[in-house]
Amino acid sequence: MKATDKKHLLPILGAILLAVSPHLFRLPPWIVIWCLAFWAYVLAASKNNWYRPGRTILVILTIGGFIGGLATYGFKFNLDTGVGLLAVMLGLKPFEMKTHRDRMVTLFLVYFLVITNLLYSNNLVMSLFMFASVLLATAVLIRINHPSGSFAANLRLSGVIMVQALPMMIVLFFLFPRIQGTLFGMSNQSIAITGIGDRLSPGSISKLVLSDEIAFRAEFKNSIPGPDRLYWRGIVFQHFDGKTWSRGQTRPVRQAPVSAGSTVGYTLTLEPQGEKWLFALDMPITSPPMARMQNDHTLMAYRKLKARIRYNVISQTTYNTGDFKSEERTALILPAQGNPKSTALARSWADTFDNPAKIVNKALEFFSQNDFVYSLNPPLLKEDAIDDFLFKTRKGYCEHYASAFAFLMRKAKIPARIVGGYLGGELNPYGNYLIVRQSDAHAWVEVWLPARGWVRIDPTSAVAPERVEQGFEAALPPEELEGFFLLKHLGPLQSHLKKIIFRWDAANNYWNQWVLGYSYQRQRELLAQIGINIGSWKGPVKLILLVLGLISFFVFLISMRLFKTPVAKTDDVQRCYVKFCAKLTRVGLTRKPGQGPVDFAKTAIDLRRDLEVNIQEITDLYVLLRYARGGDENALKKFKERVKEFAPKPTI
Amino acid sequence: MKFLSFKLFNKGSTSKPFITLPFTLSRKRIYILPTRHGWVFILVLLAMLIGSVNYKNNLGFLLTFLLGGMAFVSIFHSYRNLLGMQILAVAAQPVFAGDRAVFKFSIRTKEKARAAVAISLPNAEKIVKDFDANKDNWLRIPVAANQRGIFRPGSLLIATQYPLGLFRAWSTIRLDAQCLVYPRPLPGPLTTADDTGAVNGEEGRDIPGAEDFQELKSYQQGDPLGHIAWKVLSRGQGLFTKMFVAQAGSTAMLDFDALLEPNAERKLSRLCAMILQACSHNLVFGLKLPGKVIDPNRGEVHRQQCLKALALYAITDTITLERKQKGKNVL
Repeated sequence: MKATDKKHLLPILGAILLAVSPHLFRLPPWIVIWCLAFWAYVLAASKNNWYRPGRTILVILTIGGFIGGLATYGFKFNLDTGVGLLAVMLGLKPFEMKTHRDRMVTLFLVYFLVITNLLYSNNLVMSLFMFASVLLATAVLIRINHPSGSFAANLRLSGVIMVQALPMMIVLFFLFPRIQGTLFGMSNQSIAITGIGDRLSPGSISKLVLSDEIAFRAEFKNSIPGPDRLYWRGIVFQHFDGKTWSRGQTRPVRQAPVSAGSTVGYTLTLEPQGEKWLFALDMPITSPPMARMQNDHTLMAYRKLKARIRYNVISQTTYNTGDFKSEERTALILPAQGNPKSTALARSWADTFDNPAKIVNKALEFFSQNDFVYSLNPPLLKEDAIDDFLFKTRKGYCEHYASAFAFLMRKAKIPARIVGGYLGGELNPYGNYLIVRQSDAHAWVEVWLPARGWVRIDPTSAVAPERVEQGFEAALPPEELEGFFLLKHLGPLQSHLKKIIFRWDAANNYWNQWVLGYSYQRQRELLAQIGINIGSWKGPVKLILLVLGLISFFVFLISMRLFKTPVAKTDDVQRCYVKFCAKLTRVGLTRKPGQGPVDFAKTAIDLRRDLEVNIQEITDLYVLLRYARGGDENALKKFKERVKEFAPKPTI
Repeated sequence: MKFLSFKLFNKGSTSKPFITLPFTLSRKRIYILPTRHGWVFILVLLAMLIGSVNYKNNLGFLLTFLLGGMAFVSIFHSYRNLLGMQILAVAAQPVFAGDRAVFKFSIRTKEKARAAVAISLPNAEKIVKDFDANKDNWLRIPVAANQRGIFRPGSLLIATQYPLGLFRAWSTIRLDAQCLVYPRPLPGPLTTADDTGAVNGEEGRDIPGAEDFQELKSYQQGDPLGHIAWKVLSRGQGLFTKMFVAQAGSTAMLDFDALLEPNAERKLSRLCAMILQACSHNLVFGLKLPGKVIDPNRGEVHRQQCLKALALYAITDTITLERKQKGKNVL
């Protein structure tokens, strides 16, 4: 093994390791071991001159690795398989890095590895990782092209090049034409998705509560409504089969709730949930361009949401949806069989009260007065789940209460349906926006009341009013909170940590909005703002001119920096000497261009014998300081003084 | 920008005049194109761009444009790595055919340090070197010189792939570098024109010329060390060379036409060997070539004169060499 190979091996392995590190948790364990073991061996082998496998063995290992990869992933070629095989290859690559070409190709693979990470995750951490990884890989690239430099110098130059490339990156990022839709109909399925599904059954909300993941962020144009109004409506469940609620048929409408209430406008940045529903405060009256308003007052996107989107909505927090429509009859349908006790209870209310509002109140009373417990760990429900819950277990989370309440209402001939969404949100003081997490997931009920239309009833609030005001943590019994949200138990540290977390989230939010949320739509808006209409034929021409102009400008700036001839560094010595020469010029002794100091001194002394001592002394000091580099601080001081004192008088 | 207009066929046609030294690498002289790896990298970037467009991955866009920008910026760094470099002078000591002519270049970096600059002559191994700022550097490039005469190694190529290896900046410089190449010495007996018998210095009788001391002459460079009057020197009276008078009969005339070799090149090689032999014995000798006679003499200058006459025998292209001898390009 040649010395240069050894020299390059460690940096290249470092670059590979950094680039592959986010994958290590995703890759099958055997590939991780495969890579780490080979890299450790190749490193040790280069140090101790151990055996290094020849070409034949490498080919066999490669084939073996590929077969292993295909056995693990099967024969479907998706992102996971691609990354797995890339890792298998990179595990063996360090054995074959004898030539400059091998090393260059390996580093290109490293760059490629970086982009594969971005397809899995694209948050702020990943962005920082991307820059760090490119910085290191480029430093190694510089190293293999300039082996004699120090690694610190390589890193520094890599940083310089990166900083100089940033303006161009920004220009191209914002102005490179984006398209709508995808190129080959492929899309990214790998980002893990959590959120409210299209079915509601016991457990479907409470499992989300354990997730601290962010569902969306909402920035309000004006003040934020009170906590009792922060019901984020997502999906409406109409059908009930005795155990599970599911969405019914909806159709797009243009109508808005009938009301004169005040409106509230806000911008929502929704994390991808893989579903079509957008979230909005009860009740949305406008629909963003990527979605349509449905007749159940939900916003339904045209496509499933697989990327983060950002949209504006206006809502009315007091509303009246008007008359009952015939198509809303599904809100009365229940399975004919089952839950006899609950049915009897509802019927008795219907017989007793003539006013639906009174029945609603009676039902809420029933929940609040019968020792119902708000809990994340309710007992399993048997056949006749509603009966079981209402009369036996009496322990449940919001979906239990909503489900039972809607059931009772329908049995009492009051139209009712369940709304799934989020409740509340946490204000980030550093960005003045609300963070709504998966743990804020909630389900509530809407009943139709004459003259008032669909009215929101939250049966959970009858059991645990704190849930609405302070979030689920306040509503749950303390023993159920153990294990999660350790933050709560950190005492005085908590507030500091909370601050850091808020700041971090604010940074994430800005990054999401300005970088990750940038899209075809926003590019059009941006271009329109600077007067470029991409639709007309002039648009693209202007855009190209703009991009070229900006890049030329940055090139100019870079050139200024790179190619400026450093004005022969006028250090102290030089500056002083120039002063001395200027003094002599004033008395008619001019130094010719290119004339050396000793030569100049001779000429000057020939003409002005009276200045001989001064000129000679200064020149000697100058020569000592500048050329012999033998001068110390004292000599410099003396030199400066002499030049300062030197005051030749013109000859008469 | 001027340097972006690439010139693809920059091999340097022979009709172009030589550049004069000192020479500074200016903007117009430097060309830049992607290396093979650079093209591969551009393909990788294109793949990344297509992936980013397809997956609408904004971080992917960011990475692609960052890498693209860095590659683009590296062009300027490569360019800067060469710009303003100066070649102050070039020189080469005469060699015998079959030896390697060593061309010494004096290179000034000016105020910028230069990293991994490859400098090469045709048919010579390229030298990759870092240069410190504000320093004059000597660079030695050996090239095989196989032909008697004036050896011109061709254009000097200065190139760099620094910093990323994706682009190569280069400049070919038609330098007037040349090296005098003496014939390859062909060993054999020392044959002279007036003495048909062989004079063999190695095993035959003593060469008389070295015997008879005549006078002291002030030392001149090239006088044999063995003839220095050390005693005089040790007395502090200066450096003198003892002059000897060779016997009249020992003045050798090395005659081209008297040689029985089959062709001119062999004759020249034989003469070359004889000159070396004669010099090593400090013989007084002359050289007779068709059309040129060098009177008998001895010493280093005489030796060089004779060898040069052999090197340039029947070679017309002597103009630049003469100019060089006058000291124009000599250091």
